[in-house]
Amino acid sequence: MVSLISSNTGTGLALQPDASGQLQFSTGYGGTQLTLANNVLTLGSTTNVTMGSNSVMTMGDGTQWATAQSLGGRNRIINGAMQVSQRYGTNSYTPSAVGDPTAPNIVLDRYALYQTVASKFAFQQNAGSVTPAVGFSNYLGVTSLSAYSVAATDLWNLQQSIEWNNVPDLAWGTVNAKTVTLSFWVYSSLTGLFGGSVTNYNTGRGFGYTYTITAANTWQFVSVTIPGDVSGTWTYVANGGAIWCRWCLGAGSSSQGAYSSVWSASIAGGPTGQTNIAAVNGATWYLTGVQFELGIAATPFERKIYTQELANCQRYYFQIGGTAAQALPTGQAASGTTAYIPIVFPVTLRTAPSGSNFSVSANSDWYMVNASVGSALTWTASTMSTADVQTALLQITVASGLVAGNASFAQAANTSARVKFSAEL
Amino acid sequence: MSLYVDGVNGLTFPDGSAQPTSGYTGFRNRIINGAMVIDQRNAGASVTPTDGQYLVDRWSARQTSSSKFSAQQSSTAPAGFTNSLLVTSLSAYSIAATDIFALRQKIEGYNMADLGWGTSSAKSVTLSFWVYSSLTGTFGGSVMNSAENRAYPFSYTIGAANTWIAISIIIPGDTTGTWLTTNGTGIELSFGLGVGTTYSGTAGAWTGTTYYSVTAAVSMVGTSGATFYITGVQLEKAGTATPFEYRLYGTELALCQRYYQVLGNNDSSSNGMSFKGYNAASAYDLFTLSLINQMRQSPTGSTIGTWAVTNCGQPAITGTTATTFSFQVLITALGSYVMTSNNSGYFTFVSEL
Repeated sequence: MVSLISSNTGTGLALQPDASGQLQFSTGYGGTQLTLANNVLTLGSTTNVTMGSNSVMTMGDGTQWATAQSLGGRNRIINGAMQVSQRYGTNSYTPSAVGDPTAPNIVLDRYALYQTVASKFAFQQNAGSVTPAVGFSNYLGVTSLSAYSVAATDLWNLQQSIEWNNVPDLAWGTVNAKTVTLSFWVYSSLTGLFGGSVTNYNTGRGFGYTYTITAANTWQFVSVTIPGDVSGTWTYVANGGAIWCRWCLGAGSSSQGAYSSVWSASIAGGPTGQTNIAAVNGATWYLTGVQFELGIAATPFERKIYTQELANCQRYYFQIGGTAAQALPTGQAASGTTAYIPIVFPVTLRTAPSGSNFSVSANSDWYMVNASVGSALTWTASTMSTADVQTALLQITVASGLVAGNASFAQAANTSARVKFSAEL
Repeated sequence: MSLYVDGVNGLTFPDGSAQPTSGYTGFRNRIINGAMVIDQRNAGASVTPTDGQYLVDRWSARQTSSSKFSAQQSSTAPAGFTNSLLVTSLSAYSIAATDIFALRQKIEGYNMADLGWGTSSAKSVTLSFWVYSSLTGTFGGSVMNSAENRAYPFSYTIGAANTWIAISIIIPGDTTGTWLTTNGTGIELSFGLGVGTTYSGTAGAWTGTTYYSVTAAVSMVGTSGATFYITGVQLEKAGTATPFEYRLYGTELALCQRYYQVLGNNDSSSNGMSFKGYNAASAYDLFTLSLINQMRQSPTGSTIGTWAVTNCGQPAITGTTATTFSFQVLITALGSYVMTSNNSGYFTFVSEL
């Protein structure tokens, strides 16, 4: 190797290009390998960086990267890829409850709809069967059911609540508040301005952002960097809610306000100029790849193994059923009309489901089989006798035919049969 | 040579994605409950442990003499964490040569098999954690194999009292010895709280001796009322410490439940796990149920405390597998019976290393 440029000054070697600010290096192999221009270092199209065995990469914030390993463990959104749809599978669902998103308004695992007027939207995993965004197999589809004249106070927000246990390191509400980045893929038959927000559970703190869909029926990536909120009340409740992530689907004039990408003590339901999907019959808006992570830029979507994401969802909702003749665990008859069935949940639920958070698809979807009788005894009533975060005891009633003391088990009469437990935020 | 990236956007990859910070690499921490957030057994209550007793999930006490320290989950934590494990010295105890007082986590072999320890391909790991203590000086700990005949003592310095300090220690892979890569103990990680000379060695070298700490390390059990907090413990296959790997709470809880599960303790006086049935006097009813998730191996199941029962005896575990358990109950008189767990009567399943 011949040394063309050398230094013996004892102070090293400085290369100073002209005023263009461009500096290029080429080994003569495959063109320019490295270019420095306008303070951007660009590697050639075939140039790779190989780290030595003891090399580390130190970032501007002092963190280090020694190995790529697996990228993971950073997305605080659950079911961001819209893979898990325990309740409805790929069927369409039109939520009917008005107001806060209680259980009837869950439209896909971990996603709920806040609405002031019902029946304006249908929700469906992979609605419309469009090709998902590259790298994804699922999306949550929203379809407008009519050409609705949006009233001034109307509001529709799709939202996910994030449990405090999953964001304590953000330190929001303190001087140590961390910056996060929300990113997602969106696709709509409509173009125009849309918005979303991030708010606290205690109310009084909100960060509104907008994005513009410029091309109809085209997947578009949206990334929003959100500085940590250093004020407000972000109360610690271990298994309670901490953050709402919202996507506005429509807002009347008095539900709109400034969404200027700053934290505010008062935030409107949607941004000024929000495109109202409900106003156009058949209009669609699809969402996938939602990620909420620490940092100032969006990193690639964090892939999760399906079973892991399912377990994450089951902390908030769990159901049994969907298979013909599916059996529940064996219980025991306590009388000719009553049997008890113990259930152990597959994961520890966020909270013990209350009686109102237990339901069955329909009692007629299930029947009891008594060991000594062998006949099918259709349920006439079902309640949850007790429950904690890991178990439940079902009390099943039939018209007659059970034998007290005998083992008995329940079976599904059809594929619609479900037993459901909810611990949603 | 190392590469430094100081730009706001960090690295931009050909797919347009950016890597502004290394804080994103995940599922690399071989420590479970490194942030001390899961405490299924004690729910934050202080315990004065026996040898081997668990203080928070996955973290146990190693001690050769009792009542020298107490421990509990604490809400004192550095920025980015909400919990730590607090140890408080209960006396000014002068340690003997063979004394051992330490915090310990045993890492399952399956979870460190890729390190290649015990082979010529052994990989280096980096241990990192946050500590805070009323004492200053040189503290110690070690990593050992399950037979405790391979040990790497390490030391770290707490230079300022009552201040959170981040510690990072690079540990070269051990190319010799036997390191289990099964569901047995792969690595024993210990933090010394006071270790006698017999079990203290020189820092920074692999040895064939059982060492829990380093020679002349601070003995925190030697100062009555001394405190020691630790959190953010991470052991990763890397030559440098990366930011603490954050995990969803439900994921961390499930990881802990591979080793310990409690069924029926709802932290309330009633409305836990309940069973109802009907049978004849002196009959036994037998139940078989699934565990929450598959455990490391068939656990030891126990009925803790007293359940609320009507017309039956206390439930008794009759058998377990890694995925199920069975229990029976003796019926008192012909008729219906009820048994309900509560915060003082429940089932536990232990499959710790």
